[in-house]
Parts: sequence; structure tokens; C-alpha cells
Amino acid sequence: MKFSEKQIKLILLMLSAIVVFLIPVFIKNQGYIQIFIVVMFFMYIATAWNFVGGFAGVLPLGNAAFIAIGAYTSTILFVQYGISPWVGMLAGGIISAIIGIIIGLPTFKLRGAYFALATIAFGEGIKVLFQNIDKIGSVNVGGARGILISYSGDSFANFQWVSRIPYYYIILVMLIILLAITVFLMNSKMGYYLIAGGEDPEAAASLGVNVAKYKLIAMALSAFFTAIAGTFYAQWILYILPKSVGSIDLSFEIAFIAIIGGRGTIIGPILGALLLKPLGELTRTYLGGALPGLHLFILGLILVLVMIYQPRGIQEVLTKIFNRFVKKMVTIKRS
Amino acid sequence: MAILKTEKIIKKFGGLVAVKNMDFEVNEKEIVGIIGANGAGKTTFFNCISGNLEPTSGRIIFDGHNITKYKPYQIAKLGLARTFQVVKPFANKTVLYNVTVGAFVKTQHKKDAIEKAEETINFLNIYEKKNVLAKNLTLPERKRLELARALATRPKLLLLDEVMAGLRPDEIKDMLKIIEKINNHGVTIVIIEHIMQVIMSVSKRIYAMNFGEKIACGTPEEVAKNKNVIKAYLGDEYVIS
Amino acid sequence: MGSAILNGILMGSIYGLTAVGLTLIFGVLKVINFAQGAFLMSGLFATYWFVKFTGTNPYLALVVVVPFTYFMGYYIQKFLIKPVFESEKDVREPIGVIIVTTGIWYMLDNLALMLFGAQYRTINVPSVSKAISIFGLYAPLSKIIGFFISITVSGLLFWFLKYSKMGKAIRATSQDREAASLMGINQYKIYNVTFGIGTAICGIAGAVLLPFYYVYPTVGMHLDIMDFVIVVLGGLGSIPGALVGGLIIGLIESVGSQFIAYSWTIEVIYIIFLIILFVKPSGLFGVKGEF
Repeated sequence: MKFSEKQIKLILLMLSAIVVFLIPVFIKNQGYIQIFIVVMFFMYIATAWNFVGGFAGVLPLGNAAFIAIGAYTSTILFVQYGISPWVGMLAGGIISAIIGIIIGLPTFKLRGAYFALATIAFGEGIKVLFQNIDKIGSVNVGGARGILISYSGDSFANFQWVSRIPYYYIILVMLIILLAITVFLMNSKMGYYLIAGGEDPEAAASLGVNVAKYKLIAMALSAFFTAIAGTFYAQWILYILPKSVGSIDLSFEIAFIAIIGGRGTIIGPILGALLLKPLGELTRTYLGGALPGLHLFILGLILVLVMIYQPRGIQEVLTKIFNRFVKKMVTIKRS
Repeated sequence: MAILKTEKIIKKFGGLVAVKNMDFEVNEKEIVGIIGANGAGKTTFFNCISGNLEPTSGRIIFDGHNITKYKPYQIAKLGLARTFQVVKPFANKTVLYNVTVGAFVKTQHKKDAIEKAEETINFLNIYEKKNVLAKNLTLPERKRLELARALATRPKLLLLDEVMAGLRPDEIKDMLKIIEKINNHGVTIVIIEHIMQVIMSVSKRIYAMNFGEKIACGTPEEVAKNKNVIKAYLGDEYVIS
Repeated sequence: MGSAILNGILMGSIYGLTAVGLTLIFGVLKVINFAQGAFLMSGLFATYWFVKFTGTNPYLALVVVVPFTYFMGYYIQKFLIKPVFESEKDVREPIGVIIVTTGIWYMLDNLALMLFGAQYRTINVPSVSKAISIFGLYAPLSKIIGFFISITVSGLLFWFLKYSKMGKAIRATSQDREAASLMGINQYKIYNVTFGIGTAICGIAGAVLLPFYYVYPTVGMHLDIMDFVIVVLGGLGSIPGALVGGLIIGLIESVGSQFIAYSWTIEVIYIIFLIILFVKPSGLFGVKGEF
């Protein structure tokens, strides 16, 4: 039997999809499942970041604000009004997208460094806002103490389970949908225009690209999908507070994962999360006691090294190796 | 019939007047050249037409539209394309990708856009480079890519800003052939160049600029003989071959 | 109220000093150094350990702290930032350099955490911690000394840039990289020196801050964001702008706290920052068209 390179790639993709779907069937340890969820969660938010940070060619450093907006919207709606988190998820996404556009309108006019600063101020501003507000009228926002979501039995409508496995499948499906949307966009006019505007706005405009419009669409999409992850986080942990969902550290980590993986590529954020999250968890678990901060030191070091030696991210090397491997497979089958 | 017409274009930067009262006209299917020394205001004038700069006063009419206050992307959509003196490729993307961006102006579908882009790349004889990243191209190739990208928008009028600067004589000859070929397909061309011979051989009419003003206009022969032009642009040490 | 204004001015001048380092680096390299807060933290720790080991005055520490932070900045620029800077010098929106400085920030902060632990540390210098009276208003002597050192250092820097040979070369490079290098100025050498000076200024700020502040590994974070606000407020690249911006932020912080909770004054500062970015990104003293 002979396979072409494309077929081999497709087979490998299908195989890995099957493996990922079957993991909870074979691994029963909830702790391990939890790590898989963490990894996929970061793959997801880094992919959403990539719309703006990768394809539109600027550096957003305040994306945690959108996670916070999503988490708070659905949680307040659920805890205070009993509205299903699934509805709250959509509401949070839409509010986030609107805020994204409002923030994007003035910031996209700014040059790179200013854009980064503006998003930091926006992110911190949102976090401090949530920290400072205890109540709006009769609505309890929780201030710096955050909001606890009480567990009221396993229920799909309430987005709550004791077992980690439902969360595993939900984040997996969310990730697959987001990746599919990314692939579709990158092969459409929108994707071409977005990337062109990110590479050189002036040249893109001379070719008929309304750069500002496409960047705003990207911002709205990025904010929408990031906020949805916020709702997921809230229902997964059942406890949100400004420091966890809105922190600058989270904003930076999202960006770092995508950058180290390779920003502006579809596979970059996936590889970045796959490498960094387990590495971070392992160093923190085994060396965190003796050397607190080692995992963040390593993160900083990797970031510096990647920027010096692999500015397009680790995906470049890995893709090359993978392609060589696929080519070899073709020749083996033929011989 | 005039496809592009400017009336009394003035562009000031603070106290400096970069373009003064430019009246300019291009007829359909013509090749028109603009000459002038460095700093004569040619590129600024181009930038006003393409929307990259808004003129301080004056009017620009293109194909029946008053485009004076239009943004660059709107002007490009109307069918007025340009190249940049310092080429601006999408460096991390392939030649085909670069050109496809241009081709998307006229279609929503990737398949159509790629087809059109490949046609254009073929037309400019860089087909064998189509999968090369733009940052790995040589200068003459980059200039062709710049041209291909603009051409892929299927413009009615093409503004060429020094597409021959930095090229060797044989490369210039190739480029001239390409420009004539494009023109033969019905595209009107306005070209800025300061290599005199180049522009003389290809243009039907020439405008000469100095210190932001039009100092002469006419056939290449007329302009070459014009006293103002000889004085202002060529100087004494230049000899027309 | 009067004391709040006085303290705001004194604290603001020191904020201004840290921002001067940031704005100098931006003015010359067009790079926002995200590691600025980490450099300040390094200055604070260097001063702390100097005082701990020698048992002397924190201001004496400057003799050690200034060269230490200068060379730290010089070599970080030379070995870590320059390669990235070079590779994207044709890029219109260089982002890689920002990312590298962020990586350096994470490395320095967490190196300090591993070496010194997370606890807050202070030094006790009785001779400068007593409050003295100025026109009937009270402020600790250490803050007043800090104020004068900040103004003096900024003044010296201004003079150095204006009249010294190196200063002129730095200014030439900041105005036009290509022209300066055509005139025989080694632009990368200039960048190293500029980065060194910017970092050394942070070291000085650390030394004057320590007597009435505390030091812990992530102390730079809060000041980092404050510095961004200050330099944008004053106009990125403008040294007087950084000082004035520092004073304004210092005043908002201390006077604002008289009326509203401290956490709300921070929110007010962020909002002012965003408004300035959107309405007048060149700031109070910045050059138009730079942003």
C-alpha cells in the first residue's frame, strides 16, 4: 500500500484525535486528567490570543481581562439569577467582544509598543475594578474575595460535575471548534487580509485592505472566545477571584505560550502549551518547594532564548522535523 | 479621455510646501512619466493621489470619482494601484501569498484569488519563485513582486514609484518590457523615475517637477529641450545621450 | 493635606527618576524596556545587601550599586537584546525586543526569589528616618534626600546628554540611527551605554528608595506599570516629561488617598493613562509623530 504525504498527515491527525478522545477511558486518575485540562485550556486561550497577537501582528498583554469578563458575567448570572452558565457563556462572550471593539478602536491606531502598554493598562484596570467593587446595587460582585459557586449536583444545565471527565471533553470540543474556525479563517479572504495588515499595514492598504476593520474583527473574535474560556474556568474551578482570572501574570503567560510556540501559526499555541504547561507543573511540583520561582525563571529563559534563536517559535524546527519524518514514511511504504 | 486628473494640489508639512499647485492629467491607456531631482515632491504627489497623504488643498478625480479624501484601501478598490519606492513585501509569506492578497480585491473566494495570482506571477515571469518566502528574494525579484501584487488587484491605473532604482541595465531592460506589456493590456501607467533615459524611452508624455512645482509638460522631446528642465533638473554636468 | 502634597512631590520625584531611565532607553533605542522594574528590584537588593554586610549608610552603597547596575544593563543589552534588535531592525513594529525584555524581567525577578526568598525586607536607618519639618509640613529626611538626589541625577543626565562627547553621540543616534553610524558612531556601543545608564539610574533610585521602602522579588512589578504610565504621561523619550509625569502620579497617589481608597487611586491612574494614550499619545512633552 502507498500513501502520499498528505494522506499520512491526515492519518496521523486522525490517530492523535482518537488518542486524545480515548485518554479518559484509559487514564482514570483525576489528577492526570486535571493536567490534561490545564494544558488544553491554555492551548485554547493562546489560540484565541493568536487572532490578534499572531495574525494581526500586535502584542496584546491584557487578555486576562476578557477571561475575567467572561467568568464574572456567567457566574453573576448563575449565582444571582439562576441563569444557566451556558447562556451566561454566550452573554459574557458578546459583552467581551463589544468591549474588545471599544478598546480596539483607539488602540489599533497606536504603534506596537503603545498598543502593548494600552492593553496592560486595560487588563490591570479591569482587575482592579473587580477587586474594588463589592456590590452594584443588589448584585454581589464579591470584591477582592471573589465569588464562590456552590455545587448543587452533577448537571449539564448547571455546567457542574464532580468528575473531571466532562470538563475534559468540553474543553476538548471547545479547542477543536476554535482550531477549525482558525483554519477556516486563515484560508479565507479575512485571514489573508488580517495577516497582510499585520505584516505591513501600509502595503496592505495599497492593495485594498481595510486594515483597521479586519483588526477589529480579529479583536472581537479573540475577546469572544477568550471570554468563553472564562466561563469554562469558573465552572471548572467553581471559584473566581480577580487575582486568578484577571491577573497580569495570566495575560503574560497566554502571550508567552503563543510566542514560544510560534505566533501567527495555527500549531504554535498548541505546541507552546504542550511544552510549557507540563514543564511548569513538573518543576513546580518537584522543585517548587526548594526553589520557588524556578518554573517562571525557566519560562523567562526559554522566552529569551526563543526570541534570540527561533523568533518564529519552536514550531519552525518541529514542523521541519515532522515533515522530514513524513517524507521518510512515504519512502518506507514505497520500498 | 482623462482617467486621472488633479486640480491645484497643494501639500504642506508645517511651513514646508512639498507640492505646489499641481495640475496633472492622465488619459486612458497612456504611459506618463514624472521626473524631477530627489526632493522635487514626486513621491509626495504620488502619496496624495494614492491616499497615503491627504492633500492640504485641491481636488483629485479618478475614473469619475472625487477621491481627494478617500483612504488608500478605498482608492485601491476603485482600481488605482501603486508600488512603493522602498518595497514593502509581506516578508514572512511566499510570493504566491503576497500576490494573492492583491487578487482578493475582486473576489471573495480563495480559489479564484489564487488562480488570478498565479496568472499574474506567470505574466511577470517569476512563476518559478512562487513558493519562495518574500524575504529571501533578491532586489530585482522583490521589485517584480511589488509590481505583481499591485497588478493582481487588476487596476485601471498603476502608479509606479521608482521601480527601476537599484537595478542593473539588463534588469532595467526587462522591467521596461514588462511595463510595456502591462500597458498593452490596457492599464494606464504613471511612472516616477529619475533615470532620464529610462523614462524617456517608455513615456508618451512627461511632467517635470522641481521644488514641488510643475515646470514643464509635454512629449519626451519637448521636455528634454525645455530650458527650465535643463536648468533645474539636469544641471550643466548632465548630457542627454 | 499639606503633608500629603509634600509627600506626593517627594515620592513623585523618585518615581520620576525611575521613569527617566525608561524614557532614556526608549528615546535612543525606541524600545520599551519591560525589565525596568526588575532592574529597580536589583538596585534595591544590591543596596540592601551592601547595607547588611557593611553596616553603613545606604547612600554610600551608590559606589557599588551604580557600577553593578550599569554593567548589568550594558551586558544584558549586548548579549540578549542586541541580537533580537538586529534581526528586526527593518520591521516597522518591533515586538521581539519587548518580549525579550519581558523574559529578562521574569528571569531576574525569579532569580531573586530563588536566592533571597519571598519575604519583605527593610533596613532601619534611624539617622534618616526621622521626620523633619519644612514650612510646618513634615516628611522623613530620607524622602527629602531622595528628592534632591533624583533632581540632581536627572540634571546631571541632562547636562551629560547635552555637553559631553558621549552624550552628543547618544543624542545623534536617537535622532537618526543611519546618519549617526555614517558619521562613525558605533550605534550598538551607544545602545549598550544607554542601556547601562538607564539601568544605573534604576540602581540609584533603588538606593534612595530603600530607607523608607521595602524590597521583595516582585517589588518592581507595581513600579513597572507606574513607570509606563509616567513616561507616556510625560511623553516617551522626554526626560523633563518623565520627571513631571512622576510628580503628577506621585501627587495623584498621595493626595488621592486622602479622599478615596488607595486601590481606587490606582484605578484612576489607569484610566488617566488610557485616556492619554487614546487622546494624546505623544504625552505632555513628547514629540509628535513618534507613536
